[in-house]
Amino acid sequence: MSKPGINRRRFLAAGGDTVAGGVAVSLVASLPASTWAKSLNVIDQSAAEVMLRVCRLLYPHDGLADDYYAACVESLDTKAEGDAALATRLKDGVGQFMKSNSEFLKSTEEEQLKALEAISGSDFFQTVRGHMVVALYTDRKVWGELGYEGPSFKFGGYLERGFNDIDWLPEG
Amino acid sequence: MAINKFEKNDDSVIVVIGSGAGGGTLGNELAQKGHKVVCLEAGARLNFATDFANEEWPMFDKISWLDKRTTSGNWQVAKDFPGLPAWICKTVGGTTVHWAGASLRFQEHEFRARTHYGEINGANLLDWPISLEDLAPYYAKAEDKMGVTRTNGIPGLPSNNNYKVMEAGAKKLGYKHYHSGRMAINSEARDSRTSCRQLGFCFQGCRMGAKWSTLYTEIPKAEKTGNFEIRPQSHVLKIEHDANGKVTGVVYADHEGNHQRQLAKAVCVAGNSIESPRILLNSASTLFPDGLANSSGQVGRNYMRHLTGSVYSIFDKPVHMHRGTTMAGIISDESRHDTSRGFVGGYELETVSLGVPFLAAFLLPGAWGRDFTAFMDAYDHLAGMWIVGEDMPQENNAITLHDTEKDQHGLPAPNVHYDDHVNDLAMRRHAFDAGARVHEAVGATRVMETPPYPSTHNLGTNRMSLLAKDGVVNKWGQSHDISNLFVSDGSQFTTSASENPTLTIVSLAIRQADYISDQLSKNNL
Repeated sequence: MSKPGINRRRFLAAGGDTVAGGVAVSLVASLPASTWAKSLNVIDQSAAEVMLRVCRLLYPHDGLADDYYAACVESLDTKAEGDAALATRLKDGVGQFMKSNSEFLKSTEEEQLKALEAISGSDFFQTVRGHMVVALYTDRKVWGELGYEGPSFKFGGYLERGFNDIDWLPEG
Repeated sequence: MAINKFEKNDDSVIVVIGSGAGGGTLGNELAQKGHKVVCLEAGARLNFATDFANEEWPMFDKISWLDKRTTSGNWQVAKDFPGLPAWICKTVGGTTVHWAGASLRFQEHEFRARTHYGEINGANLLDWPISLEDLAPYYAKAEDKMGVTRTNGIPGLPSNNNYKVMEAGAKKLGYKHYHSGRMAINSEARDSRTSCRQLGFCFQGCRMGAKWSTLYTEIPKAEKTGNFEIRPQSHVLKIEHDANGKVTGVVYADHEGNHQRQLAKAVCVAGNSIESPRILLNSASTLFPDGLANSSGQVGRNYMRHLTGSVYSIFDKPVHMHRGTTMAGIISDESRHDTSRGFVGGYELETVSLGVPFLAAFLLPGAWGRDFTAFMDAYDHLAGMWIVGEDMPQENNAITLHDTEKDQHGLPAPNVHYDDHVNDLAMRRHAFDAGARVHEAVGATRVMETPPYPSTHNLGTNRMSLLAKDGVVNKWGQSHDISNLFVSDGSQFTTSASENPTLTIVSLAIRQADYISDQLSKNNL
């Protein structure tokens, strides 16, 4: 298995990535190996590509570059390195999914969602989803994209930084 | 080996189990009166200045009670969070480290729920053996102790963005009773503690010490008397008694897991409403085969958790609900008892805000896809509110010892069983609609009804009753069966009322300290 390099490449066009589902699919299908920041040890490259798309379908944010989702796949892979049961569930799960959906990456978003819904009761699905909902939303760069400002004590709280600055409510 | 202030074989000490709103307050009040107190706290002792971080998951891991617990019943928590029935604390200060600070007195009729609501099918309603009049002087002391805003000349906290949205909606709908809360959070420096700087991480422990918590108020004040010793990482396993049925002391596991025995003149149980009944049940003996203080069979029963549920709404323009206090304001109009709405009892609407990490986990557990991410994408355009509503006590909503599951000490783990009562369902439905209307009145475009998450209000499992057959403790929180055994936390509550419980827990603890002190002086314990 080839080991990808450590340089990430951002896919954000100037002004933000607002691609619709269809275009995003073709972007993902041609994801260069260098997008993966670390070498994957439990799942292989082609499985990782599928996993990345699955992660984005689970928690789609058109404004978030693939890097954020790739990071979630990587951290799940890292978790599985230290957990044999998880590793098996992951490998078997994605392997089975890829076998049942061999044209997954080339399908439309609607078809891809159908494929996911079909396995939404499975342990594999819940494992990936459970990981994603924490991994993606504890990423501090994602916070910035979503407008959450994070820890505030070191800045003196929000008392002088807009805690009551809402200005569009109807008057008294 | 720990060097304890008081000897383990000193049977003149009062043992208080738990250091939160109940145990911490009781321990301090007794110490101030000259009584020797050993407070055994299962959690560790943190320092708010060095150990609290403005980080949701890390602080959750640090301060939450995460020992083995199981769930059953038709409540949504059992589906979404089967291993986490409650979001409460295992740390010195108990859940006063995590709480948001809302400090409301119960209403007069709420102490007489059975009288006012009548016979409700399936509900185990009962009047409290005390009235608002009995508790009023203690409410006043508690408000002074805790520095509750809008009492004692303390100004209300300023309105933050999240509350301004709620307030504008309340105004539009014609509500009359709304403000920025009666909060145990300093709006000005008071009691050697600084004032709130609207950090927005109340749930993660107040990094300023502006929010009242026994961790940095009652506990250090108690220690200054020289009469109080707290032993953190001391998990009480069992309460022991003599052949006459009087408690003699407790067995606890210390920070190394070694079992220690502390003798006691009296024992006061304040481990919150899942652990407190569990300790009593795990203390079963030949003399008390159903557990301590359980002649009524009500230990563990009548578990209440308020309705809860949240409403999060998307607006066209930014709100930034995360900036500032979590519980930033309240609408109280719906807390009245008014059966024309289709249910007995009432509810409060209070603001709530979660950061991105927690919102993703709790907004709609298990949800995925674009319907869900639409809300996350709109994060800085969200306003949020939380429902605090009176839920019905039901005898089979109960904490019981699990048949097979054990905790880390080899003792039976607790199972928390809860079924929604039809009154609860009707009230929650009404509250979701009311909350949505408040936000929609100010232009909300989409509204999410967030189901109840692990319970932060846990009540009723060692309830007060006039008659011994109906409950576990009398009007002083004293066991009906054992004169030197007390319950000092929210498990005493006969009914849940519509208000956040902490002020009432603190008030009951101040009053109980008076009683215990009086009884000791008369040699009645």
